[in-house]
Amino acid sequence: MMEVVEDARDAGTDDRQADFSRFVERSGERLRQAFVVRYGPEVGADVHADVLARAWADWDRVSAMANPAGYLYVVGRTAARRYRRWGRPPRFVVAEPVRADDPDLFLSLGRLTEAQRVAVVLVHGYGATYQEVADLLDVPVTSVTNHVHRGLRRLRSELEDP
Amino acid sequence: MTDDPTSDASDPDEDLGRRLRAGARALSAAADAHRPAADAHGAGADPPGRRPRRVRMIAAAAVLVAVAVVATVAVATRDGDDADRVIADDVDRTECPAGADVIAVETDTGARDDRYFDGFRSVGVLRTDRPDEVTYLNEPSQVVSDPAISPRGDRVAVNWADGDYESAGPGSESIWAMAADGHDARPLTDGSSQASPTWSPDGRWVAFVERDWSTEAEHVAMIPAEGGDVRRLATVPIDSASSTTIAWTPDGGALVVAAGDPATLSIVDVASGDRREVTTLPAPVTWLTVVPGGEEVLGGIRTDRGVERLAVDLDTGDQRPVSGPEGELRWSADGRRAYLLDRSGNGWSGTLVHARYNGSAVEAGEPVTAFDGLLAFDVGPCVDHAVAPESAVDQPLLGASWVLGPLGVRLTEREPTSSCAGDDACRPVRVDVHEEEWRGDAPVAICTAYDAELRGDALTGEVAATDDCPSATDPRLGLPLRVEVDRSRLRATYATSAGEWTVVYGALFVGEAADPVEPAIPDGPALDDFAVTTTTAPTPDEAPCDQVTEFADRLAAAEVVTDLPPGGPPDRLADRARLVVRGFLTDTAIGSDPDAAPSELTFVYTLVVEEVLRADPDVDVAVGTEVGVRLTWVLGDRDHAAPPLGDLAGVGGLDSPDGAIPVVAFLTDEGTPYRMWQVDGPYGLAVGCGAQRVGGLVGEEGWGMEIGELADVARG
Repeated sequence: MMEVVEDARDAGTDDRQADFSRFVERSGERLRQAFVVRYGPEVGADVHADVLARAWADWDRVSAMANPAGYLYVVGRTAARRYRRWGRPPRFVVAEPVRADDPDLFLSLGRLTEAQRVAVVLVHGYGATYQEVADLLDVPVTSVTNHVHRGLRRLRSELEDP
Repeated sequence: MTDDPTSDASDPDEDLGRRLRAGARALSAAADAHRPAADAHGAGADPPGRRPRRVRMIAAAAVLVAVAVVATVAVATRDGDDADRVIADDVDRTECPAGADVIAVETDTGARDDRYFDGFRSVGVLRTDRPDEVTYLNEPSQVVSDPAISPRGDRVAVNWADGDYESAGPGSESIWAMAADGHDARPLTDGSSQASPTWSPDGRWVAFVERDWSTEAEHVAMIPAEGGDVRRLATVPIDSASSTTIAWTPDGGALVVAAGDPATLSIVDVASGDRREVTTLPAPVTWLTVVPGGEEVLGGIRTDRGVERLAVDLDTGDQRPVSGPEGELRWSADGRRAYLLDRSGNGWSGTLVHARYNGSAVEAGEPVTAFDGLLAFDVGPCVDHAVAPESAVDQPLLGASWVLGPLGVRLTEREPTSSCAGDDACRPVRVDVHEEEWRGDAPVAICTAYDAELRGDALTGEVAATDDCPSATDPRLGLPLRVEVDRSRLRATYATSAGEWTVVYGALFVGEAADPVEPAIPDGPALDDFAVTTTTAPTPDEAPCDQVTEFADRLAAAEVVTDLPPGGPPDRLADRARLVVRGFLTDTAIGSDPDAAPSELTFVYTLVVEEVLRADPDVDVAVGTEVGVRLTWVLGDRDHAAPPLGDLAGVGGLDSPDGAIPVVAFLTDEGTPYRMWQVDGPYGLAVGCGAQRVGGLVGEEGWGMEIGELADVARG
């Protein structure tokens, strides 16, 4: 009886790991992109790693959610607060070598709201669909459209007249 | 330019699109390059499309932990008719001795650290053979109450109120169930005002009370213990003075329901929904329990004389008083032992004792446990619960929620840098920011160092390093500084020639926001935008409270918070408004003479109301409202021989330029179990000095709470 139970548990663990891996393959990179765009490469990468670690620790519950990636995006926003400065949440910080090729663009991106920046760069930088971004941000597609529209308008304005 | 989002403006032109794609590639490349630095354990860059190695390592570690836990799984059956029931085991497993039970307790969260009471509720589990070992099942920042232990003793159902970012907002209360060691927490209901869970005797159902605000009624309902469709069994009208109380009959065939003022006691058949009225009681019911055997119930009724205990025959409806010490009575799962929760002491403490009931009286026996803040309990059979598996230790049990506690800021001078060269007004400083986050049951102190330039009252800077910040001497003040943080406050202690000099801050940041609003920092309020006065440094001849009274003098025309109401804080505490605010440091000032030792450190924060977790019906609080908080550490003049600041508590309050903002005021002091919320008036400020309250202001409909030594109010 005991062996049967343990074998079943081992199999369950393998299935759980495989399920988690599939999620990471499917959504992990998009989630990482969102955090990197929101917080900058360093904090964003760390937040992404934190979030996946926590997702794995609670994968049974997370995997049962209708929108695990959206949930983890919220979790990441919470986790990111450890990186806050001056009592403010972490900002979009891009080191000089990274922004060297197009400093005006990164400066302008930093002036967008977080939602605008995430929406604009995910859609037009990384090629995400509006629906993907909407799922990630847990907002309607129309909201993403608005974010992209207003973000692009502000980017154009900033880049034309910095 | 049109605002139509469907226009072509939603697509970038070719050049901008190219730049965005290049920028995205640069960000990803930088994130990839960051991994080796983030992973100090030898991980390198990961191939595209694969998980970062750091995450893989964490996941692998988690797998090992999980496997280790699985390896210790045992199959346990208690009764012959039980299906195979797997409970987690643990190497520290201790067999339950005969006569031991599991007690689930509801406590004020303040009981967890034995400090003060903050209105948050926690649920913990203890065993009667080890009553000092309480395992709390939720985060301190959550409001979790109404524990009910399953008949097997392996799960606990609770009422989870709104309070973290997963919550649905005001009015949100739902039933959750979790393992008795805290893991595997899951919601059973959808969070629309459901409370008072109780397990059916066979453990298959959880009955609860659901408030329907639209029809002004309460439903008695039940849901499968594993979740599923809600079955509504009965509907009773809402009575503002009471709530519905329910209890299962021992055979699981019916629920005893007490509702209304005076309460009507009835029995609802679970299968048919038929409802039979038993009797009408003389007052509303506060608790209800079925006596083993199922022939009668005991209940507490609230009268002018307090909570009185009655026994009611469920067949005839006959009522009779039951004498003995006051308190709620519950029986063990096998009906052999009774427990009594006596809360008749100072109103805050609870004593759980063994008890006996002979049909006409209750007799208290040996105590089980007692501590302040013990509010309610339930009894279940003792089983060998595991400790929480390691993989769940840092995993919030009821969803991630963080209390962002107080901030401590320490400024020290550092070597001049080129950024200040040639600028006499620029002073390079090192800023250490002390923060804390709560993870599980313990605060995690976070220290961050900044290199900054101070110009006048403007402080700017960038992160210089992140490291642990040990105790240190503040060379600028010439005073050794020790900073301690706990869940709700920060205590900065300076060692002076006159003794230790402690400044304490209460918590400002509670909860999480669903969608934070971020104001534009450069345009934020400045120091002088707020009407709060500044305390001044005391002189040797002045009692410390005199200078604090300056605050109160400004408020002479205002109502001062009055004495503690008889019988303790009013019930309204439980329903106080709670806001989520987020702060931004927008200004700072250090003394008035840059060449002299500073007498004050002043920080101004902009707080934005981001979410109203529980609205006070008397208050109109708008999300997005911006308030200022100005905190001043009065440092005194260290040249004076004896700055009488040893017992000066922090002073602070929220203010707004237009004076129209509800206020959270706070005041704490070493050894004084005191906190105050004031969120129901248009304006408010609390002023204190040590254990003495010297002044305070609340709005016309305002209200304050104080406990302990601060009950003696000195009007400012």
